[in-house]
Amino acid sequence: MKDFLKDSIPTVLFFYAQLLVFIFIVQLFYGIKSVPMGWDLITYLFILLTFGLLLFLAYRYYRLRDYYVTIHQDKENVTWLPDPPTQLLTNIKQQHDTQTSRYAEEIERLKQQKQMEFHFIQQWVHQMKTPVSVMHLTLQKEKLQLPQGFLHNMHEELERMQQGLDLALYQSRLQKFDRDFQVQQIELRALVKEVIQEFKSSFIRNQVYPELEIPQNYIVTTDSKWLRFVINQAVSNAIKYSKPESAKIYFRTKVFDHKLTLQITDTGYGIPREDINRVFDPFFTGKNGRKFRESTGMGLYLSKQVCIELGHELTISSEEGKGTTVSIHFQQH
Amino acid sequence: MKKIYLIEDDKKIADLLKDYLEKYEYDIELVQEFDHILEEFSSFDPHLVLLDINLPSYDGFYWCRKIRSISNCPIIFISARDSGMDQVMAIENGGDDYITKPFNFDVVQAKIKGIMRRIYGEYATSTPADSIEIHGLFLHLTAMEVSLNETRALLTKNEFILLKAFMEHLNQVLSRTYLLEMLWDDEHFVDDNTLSVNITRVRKKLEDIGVSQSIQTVRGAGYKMVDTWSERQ
Repeated sequence: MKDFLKDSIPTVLFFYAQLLVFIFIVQLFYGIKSVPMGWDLITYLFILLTFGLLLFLAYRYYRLRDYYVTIHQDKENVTWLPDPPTQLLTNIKQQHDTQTSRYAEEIERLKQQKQMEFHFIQQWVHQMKTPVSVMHLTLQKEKLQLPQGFLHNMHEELERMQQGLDLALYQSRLQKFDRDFQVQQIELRALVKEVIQEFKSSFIRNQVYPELEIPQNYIVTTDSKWLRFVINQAVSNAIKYSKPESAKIYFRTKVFDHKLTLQITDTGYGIPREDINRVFDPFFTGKNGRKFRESTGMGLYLSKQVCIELGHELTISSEEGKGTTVSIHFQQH
Repeated sequence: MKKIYLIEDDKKIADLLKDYLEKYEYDIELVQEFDHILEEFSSFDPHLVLLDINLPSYDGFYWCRKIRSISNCPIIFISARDSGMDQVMAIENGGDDYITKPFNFDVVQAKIKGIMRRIYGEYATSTPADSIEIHGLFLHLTAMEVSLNETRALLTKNEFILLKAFMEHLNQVLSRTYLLEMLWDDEHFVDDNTLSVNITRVRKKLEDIGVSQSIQTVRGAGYKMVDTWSERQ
């Protein structure tokens, strides 16, 4: 209704302007004959024509009401328009309809393409995992026969490959997060221990050792698979950016203001101050990324996205040359 | 000997697993034809099944249900798929356990052993020798003791693990990383120094029972155990 009135303002103004001009001319005409029109006649004329105008507006509103009301109520997604009362609106509706259906088709096509891509990546990653497994098993079998340096290198490259595959897998899964997500009560210490075990040989090879300072029975509400992904990324970074003389990576918890925080702290190279605010940006590798060639700039970005989806908060603090702390804050209830 | 039926479509992984598990005295049967898994299962009548999920024609879930319809035989899934959903599906379809690739041989072996023990009884699996012996030097596995000519020394857990590794690989150089990986367990993350300390302790214990200079340091490579006790007898 409001919109309709607004739209009608020019019509009303025009109408009354015309009326005034008309009265003026009539006045002039009668002025010459020196019998001016009386005020009562003017008032009568005014009221009569106003009534006519109101009738016109009412009719117009009645015809257009559907449009004003529908569009007003449903601003977000107007995919359907009511039967148009005027030729202009008929044309607009026609154009709108063809455009909407074209967009719908396009969206459907893109969706299918995306779906294909999703399946392809999932499939591909799993296929690539088989050769990684084979190499992994072969190395295990020949563990004692092979020169140590060779074994180290192979293990390192394999781990890198595996992490890359995981990254791809989780990145593609993240798009379907709502369907691939299961909230559970997780014992934090146990989960961290599992991750540490997974990185066992990496820790030993890099001669940096975990220090687990998490009390038992700290329960967090989360999805274990996704949280594990985040912790994995943090641990892998912590090992990667540890200095040769760094001895420890600390796993600690803090409770503050109903929030439980898991901190993973290394004593490595740290992140340059100018880079710290951008570490969660996709594809950002920064100074360290150029120094250590395995950075893709995706690990922390994905971790952040996962934490947002999980409802945890992920923060990072670092001092160049002294080390980095990654903190995952869990909301406690 | 316990029989294991291995359903895995990647030939290399299947062979590697077969090789490894045969060392632990399991009889491994590889799948021959992926369309006749049920028949093969019946004719082989295994004590345990290792089952991949991605298989030609039907998937592992399907075969698991099929096997379940005729047998209660324990089934362990082995798959590259690591989503929670797949693990749930595996268990719902009748699986007993789930291992994700890439896996460690030790994990597979431990899980197999665990399930075998639970289902066929503690000592049903081919009873492993209670001790390892090299020329009169005995390592008693259950008592965690080492003995030579009736003199005995009690070992701590870490010392036991180290000595067992050395005795199983006599004259072979074991690298520090290899030994460290053996010592790591769920709770204790052993560092380099701890390894050195433990090696020293093992040497001391061996000396206590009359074995000296047996564990040698190989510079830049690790340690190896050589037989220094038998020639003197």
